[in-house]
Amino acid sequence: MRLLLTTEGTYPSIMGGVSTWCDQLVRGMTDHGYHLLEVTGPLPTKPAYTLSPNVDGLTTVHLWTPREAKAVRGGQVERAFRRGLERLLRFAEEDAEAFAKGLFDLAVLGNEFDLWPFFDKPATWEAVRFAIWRANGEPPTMAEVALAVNWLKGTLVPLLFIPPEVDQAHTTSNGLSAIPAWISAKAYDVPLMLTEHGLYLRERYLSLAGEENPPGVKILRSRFYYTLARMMYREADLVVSVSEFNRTWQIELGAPAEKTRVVYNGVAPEAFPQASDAEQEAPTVSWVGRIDPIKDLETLVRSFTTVKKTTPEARLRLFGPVPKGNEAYGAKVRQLVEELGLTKSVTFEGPVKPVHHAYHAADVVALSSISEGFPYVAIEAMMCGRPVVATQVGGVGEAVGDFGRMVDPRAPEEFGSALSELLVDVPLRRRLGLGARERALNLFTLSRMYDGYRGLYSELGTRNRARVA
Amino acid sequence: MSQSVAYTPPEYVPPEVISNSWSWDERRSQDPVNLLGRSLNRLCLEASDPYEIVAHLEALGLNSPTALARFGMTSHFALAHELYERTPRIRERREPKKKSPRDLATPIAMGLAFVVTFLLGAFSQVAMLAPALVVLIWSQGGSALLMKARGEFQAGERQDVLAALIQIGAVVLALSWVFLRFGVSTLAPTLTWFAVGSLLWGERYRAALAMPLIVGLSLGITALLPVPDAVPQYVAVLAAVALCAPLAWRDSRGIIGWLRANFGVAFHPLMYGVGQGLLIVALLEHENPNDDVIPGALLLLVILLVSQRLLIALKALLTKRLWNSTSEPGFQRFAQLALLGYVAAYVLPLVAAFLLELLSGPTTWHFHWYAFGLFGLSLGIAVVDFALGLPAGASIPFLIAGIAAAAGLPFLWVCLALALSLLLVAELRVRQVGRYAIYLL
Repeated sequence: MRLLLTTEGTYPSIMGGVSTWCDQLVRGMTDHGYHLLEVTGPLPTKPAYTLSPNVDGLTTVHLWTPREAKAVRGGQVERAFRRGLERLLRFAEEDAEAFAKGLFDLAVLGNEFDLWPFFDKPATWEAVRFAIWRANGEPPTMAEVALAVNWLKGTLVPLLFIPPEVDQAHTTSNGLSAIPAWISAKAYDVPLMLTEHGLYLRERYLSLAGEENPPGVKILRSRFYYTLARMMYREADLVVSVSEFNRTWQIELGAPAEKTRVVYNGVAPEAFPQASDAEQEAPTVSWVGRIDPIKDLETLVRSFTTVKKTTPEARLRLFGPVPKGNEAYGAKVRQLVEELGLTKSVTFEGPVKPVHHAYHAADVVALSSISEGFPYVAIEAMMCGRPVVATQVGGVGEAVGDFGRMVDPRAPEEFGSALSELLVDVPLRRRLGLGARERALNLFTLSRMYDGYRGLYSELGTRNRARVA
Repeated sequence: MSQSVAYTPPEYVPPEVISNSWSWDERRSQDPVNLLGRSLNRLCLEASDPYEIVAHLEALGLNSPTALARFGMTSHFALAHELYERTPRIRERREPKKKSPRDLATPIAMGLAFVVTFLLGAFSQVAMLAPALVVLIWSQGGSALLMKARGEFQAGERQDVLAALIQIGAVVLALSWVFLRFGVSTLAPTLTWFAVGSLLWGERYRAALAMPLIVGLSLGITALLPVPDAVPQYVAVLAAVALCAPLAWRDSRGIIGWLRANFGVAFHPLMYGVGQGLLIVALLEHENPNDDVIPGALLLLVILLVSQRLLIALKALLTKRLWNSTSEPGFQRFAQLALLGYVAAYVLPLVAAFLLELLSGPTTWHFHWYAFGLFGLSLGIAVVDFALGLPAGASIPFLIAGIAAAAGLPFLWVCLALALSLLLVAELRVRQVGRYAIYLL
């Protein structure tokens, strides 16, 4: 079977948790062929992963970049564009049905014609103006309309085309990358699977709060992602989550429960061998990940002042890169370490390869994020036999189970107390470590994940999908 | 597993309660949901829907068990719905904060660069100014690409684009040497422009100001002390290289594909750059700028400062109106008036100067008034391209005017025709708000 696998800002150009999952999936499903479709920013990209032999094509969609298509001015095409756009803009009133119809009509049109210039037309401006008005309940300012039109153009137009023909479509998030997957499923009348790692909509809300958007633009963008999410949950044949926690969100947002499944992420046990029981030079906590505000390293660093009270010789080793764009956050964390007088206890180790060295170098592994789907860090650490102290967010609790400590996010003292407990109580720590490895071997292996997806692919493959178009 | 997002968490306890949005009973209420709603007032007031509140509650550590234990709600979804229902919707419009240093530093640095270029003698003959005109053309194209990069990239990639543009500029300059074979006396003013442009792009305002000041200082020392005349030229070259090297010293290979794909953005700016260059050449060939060099340079500096402020004021006025106006026709009328005011503020002193010259006969200041006129027309590019978002509207008239002037048509008439065509383009464009509003924001 040939599948279209769509991604956004992750695989195969950018390394990270979701990309690791995609790479594992594609490599593991050797009985299927894949065409990858990556939605990314305007910058040229090149694969950060060596593509598996069963990948027969890669389509890169650059946002904020016009597609190469037939230029046309006015006439029937413009009228069809306006009809499609007006339907699509019904997302402002959360009308998912009209939104879906408009989206598909525009994709068919965009597949042949360049729609970019139509966004500069007064009629488009007017349509967007009324959409904001409907969403926000008051007439928008000219600035709001201008920003909204610009955002809609840059975000939507590159996605309006019909991807190559496949037997199934599989999107790895319920955001922009779901659009080409859904178009493909609808155009070729093939099944659509939607897998979510983090909750795209939730992350959009968090990110929109940090942006300087006037209210009309903010509400329009929120409505777009909200309606898109609801529409995709309804249209997808299977909605897969990496944790029960995320599944709750999906059902809350309209995914029919009978279409939802949970397939946990997995790691290869041989890549994460069990760590020895030998004591570290000093009691050590490891943190592994990219240095990013969502990982809330400030709470972790602050928690270490509590740890130092009971275990003055304790060390915190932070393994991971500072990604481009996060330099300011990295500097902020370093400054906090200095302000708290922890420069001798907290070290920035950078990326480490192989990653299990970071877990083996620790007595306890910490995960202080404010938002997570189902983090690899937790299951990798568990596979190495290390207990995890983590924040109770997303599916982290489901991963850790009873073999670690869960605390509220943004609670440095509580986090520090949990770390101290495990650093001081060696028998408890060992018992939890053994239990964690046992749990990981039972639930979070790659082969288990492959079996899950193989089953889902074949379930969809045999389903006789009614023609929608 | 989560994707990277720019995230600013909500305040824990923002006591910023908009009191009139809550009834008296609500303000007094000790109900835990009301207390939470008040502590997360801004979030609840501005939420697009209840799920936005759910997302933030989770980020603050509230989940279904805590919603049940602390608030008696079945889940944190139910809690968020309750908060959303209880809070009146207020969506406050706030204009983004303005960045100010560039507004002042740019015209001063550019003005000083013009002054030292004058003093280095670059305006005395076309051959001496030719490489600087190459820099001018490159800078127009580069500015357009950099502006696009600012809209699309994070800081790191923007630095890569900047480095690539400086590297390309250096290569273009080296290639122009192959054809023009200029010496250090020509290289000095050229690199002064190059450095000031690059440093302003890189937002190194102090360095951009320092560059012409260093050259000016060396010119002063040369004038006062027995120092070889060539010293300021070498100082200019060394200062330019030293100040630009940190910006250019980056591996920019990753950005070359983006530059190639977006070259179209630079096409029109390069064209009006060529037009500008041809007009400057025509001006230098017809007029002699060697008289009154220092007063002329100072006049140019004053004009630059005043004109830049005027242009910034026009843009700021239009932008402010965009943030406040909900009526397109109303905005159009306002934009037309603002444009007319801008043109009048520029044209009136020019007309007065010409009238004065007509009355008192020709003076050696002829060149400076012509330069003033040309400079005003160049600012017309900024209006038509940067404020009204129509690069073709600037490039086509400029290119035609440049070619016409180079072909020997009277300079004054060429400039007059150019001014009228730019005014016509601006007037037509100002009616199409949808097409340029985004360029003002």
